[in-house]
Amino acid sequence: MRAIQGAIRVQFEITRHNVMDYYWMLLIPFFALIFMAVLVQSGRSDLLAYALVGPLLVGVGQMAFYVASEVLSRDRETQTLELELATPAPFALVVASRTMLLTSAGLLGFAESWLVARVVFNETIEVHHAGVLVASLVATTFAAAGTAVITSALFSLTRSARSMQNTVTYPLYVLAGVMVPAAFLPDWLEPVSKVIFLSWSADLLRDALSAESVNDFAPRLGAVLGLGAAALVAGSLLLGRMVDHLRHQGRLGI
Amino acid sequence: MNTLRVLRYAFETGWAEFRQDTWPPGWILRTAAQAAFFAMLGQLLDSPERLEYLVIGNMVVVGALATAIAVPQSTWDRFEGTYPLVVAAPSSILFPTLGRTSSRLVGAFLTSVIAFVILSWLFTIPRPWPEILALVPLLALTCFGTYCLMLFLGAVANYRPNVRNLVHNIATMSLMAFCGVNLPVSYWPGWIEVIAHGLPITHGLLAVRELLAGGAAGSILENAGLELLVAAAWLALAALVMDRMAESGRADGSIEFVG
Repeated sequence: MRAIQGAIRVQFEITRHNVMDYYWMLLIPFFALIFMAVLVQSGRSDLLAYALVGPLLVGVGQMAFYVASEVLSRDRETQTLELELATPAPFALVVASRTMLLTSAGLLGFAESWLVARVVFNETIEVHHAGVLVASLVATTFAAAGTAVITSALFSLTRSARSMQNTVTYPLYVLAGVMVPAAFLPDWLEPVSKVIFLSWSADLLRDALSAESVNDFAPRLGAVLGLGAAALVAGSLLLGRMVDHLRHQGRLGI
Repeated sequence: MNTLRVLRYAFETGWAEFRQDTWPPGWILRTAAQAAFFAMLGQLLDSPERLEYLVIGNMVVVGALATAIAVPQSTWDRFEGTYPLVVAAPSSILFPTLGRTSSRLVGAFLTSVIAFVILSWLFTIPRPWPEILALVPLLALTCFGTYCLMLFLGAVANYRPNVRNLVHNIATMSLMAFCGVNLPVSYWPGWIEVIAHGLPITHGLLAVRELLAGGAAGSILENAGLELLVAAAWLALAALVMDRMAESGRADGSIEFVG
């Protein structure tokens, strides 16, 4: 527990002093503004909840892929990775706690998008199923943090993995139906959508904001948590391999 | 002659960086997905007209916005410690910056073309022949206009290099929101509309929309001319700010500091 607290505290202090760690959250209102303006101009204010979920998940995704994924490569740059590994705290737990803090910052996108709807368009987006919303947000943050453990290990190993950072984000958002449901994609892409936790999260969050009852809540939430747990396990194994590889080559701090 | 040599060497540096940063298959995938991400709103609205509007806007803007890398790139000399050397050189700082960042202009133009080819095929956007050939200079012009704005912002970002990414991302999101990409400029309040007419993309994109809709050549040329005028204004401003930045850095000794 102390290791988790310490890791979160360290990451909070690092992030607090670095605008590059949270600038994505300053951009989320622009996403909400664009999506909501298109819907309102087209006379479809009834779809505004979609324009809240989209920017929210883009925020969580960007925090995971662009910020949380950088924690280890930044540790290597600042030569603190060796110190981190020398402590008795489990390394994977420390990394997961740090990525969890960063991805949870993406949840601010909910408040930002809600406020854009209220202040700019004078529309109130109602939460019809608060329990579903809270559980989905927590599960989404967990899954994003687990995924970021994998990418942080990859990015710290090689610079070429960075091109993946720019490549995968938008295809993932399209395939996951973050803004426009994946049902609008060709049928043959459906199996791909199902293995992306964001697609389950997007559907659950839209349902939480819809007046209709939520069907199959538990298995769908389980899918988000299961994909997150699988990512976390894979990420922890990858971290171990990454550390062994760097130790073997004597490049931990280089 | 010397200026040309400076431009050439700087371009070669920028081109090497561009090749190192870019993985073509990933770049094509991202380009198409980014444009589709916004354009698919038209499918959600179940409106062919809205879909066409969104597709055209986003396939043009995705290339133009690829020039935004010129903002952080203009500050890289600060981080690499080479900025004082560039300022101390007898050439104006404008030319090495132009040469180094213009490599991204080539990439941006190609991005626009690729986005057009993929998205017009995916969403069956009209491609009137031979009028479609005029799309090539219009896409190049829109990319150039955006690049000039990014050069200006890059010069300003040199005052606070640590916020370079924030600057270029706010700029790109603002252009996407207010310049007629996803909805007409006239949707916004009058004061935003006035500002939008002084920004790149607004007129170039209008020209592209008119071209694809079979509009009159005179109107297309007028909008292209306005886009060029806007580009020239931002380029002139960029040149002014760049030199002032270098001079003030030399005067107060902050030239070697980043922060």
